[in-house]
Amino acid sequence: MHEYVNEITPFLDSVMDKTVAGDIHWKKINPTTYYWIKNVESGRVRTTIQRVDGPNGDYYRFDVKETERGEELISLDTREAEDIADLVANLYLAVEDYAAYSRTKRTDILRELIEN
Amino acid sequence: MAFLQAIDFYIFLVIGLLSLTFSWLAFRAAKGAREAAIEAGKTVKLQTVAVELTEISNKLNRLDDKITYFNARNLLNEISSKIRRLLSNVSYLQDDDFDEVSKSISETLIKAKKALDNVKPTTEGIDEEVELESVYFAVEGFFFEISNQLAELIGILERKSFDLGE
Repeated sequence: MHEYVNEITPFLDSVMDKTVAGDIHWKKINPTTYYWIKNVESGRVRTTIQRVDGPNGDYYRFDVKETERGEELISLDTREAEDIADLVANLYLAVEDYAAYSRTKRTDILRELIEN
Repeated sequence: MAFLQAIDFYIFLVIGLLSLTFSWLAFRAAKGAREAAIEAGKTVKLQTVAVELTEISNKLNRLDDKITYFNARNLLNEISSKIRRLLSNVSYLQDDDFDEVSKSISETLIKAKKALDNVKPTTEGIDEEVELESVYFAVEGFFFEISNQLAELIGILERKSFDLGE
């Protein structure tokens, strides 16, 4: 088990819980990439998740960056971080569900506005 | 049959036979020269294709990590058509390795196109850095793969060029 597992797993678990609860506003920028930004005391933090369909199969990229200084807080590639590959893959699925749900919810609100 | 006893007849006969022999030898030499020219032409063509493929490979190796979706799409279209044109220029080659690597390259180009479609921007006003990173990560593996396959192909062409030159 790598060192980063103990460090990163709680963060991934927390992001997963908040995503499932709909507390994180993930933005979809293309069919395979999502991100969200949060302002914290030390600056602006951006979290990105991407499914990469590489020549040797799919893998996931999970990246947390402090944007003003450009400092990488977490930079994960599940080809190398095998211990938490499933966790990241499940988070990606949860993010996809969140995005699909948001889209449906938006459509419902618009429909309600038209009807009333 | 008086002419058979005339010396002139034999002189002209010998001259005629010598002419025929020289004509045949000249024909043989011209045919050999033509074949040599064709083989030389093939060697030059192989070397030219190898040089052009090397240029493509170098271009792929210098992939900008801030490449936009549209630039990546243009680059992929450009190298895709160039590679296909170059491969068809040397399609006369009878070599199993060449056929196999050519096929692999065609497959990788198709997969790269699909991978690029996966990062086609769907929303405006998004974080530009995230967009650029996502494009880079989507294509860099494929460009690396294509570059390796091109290197393999260049090696085969150099070997064939050497074989033809011998």
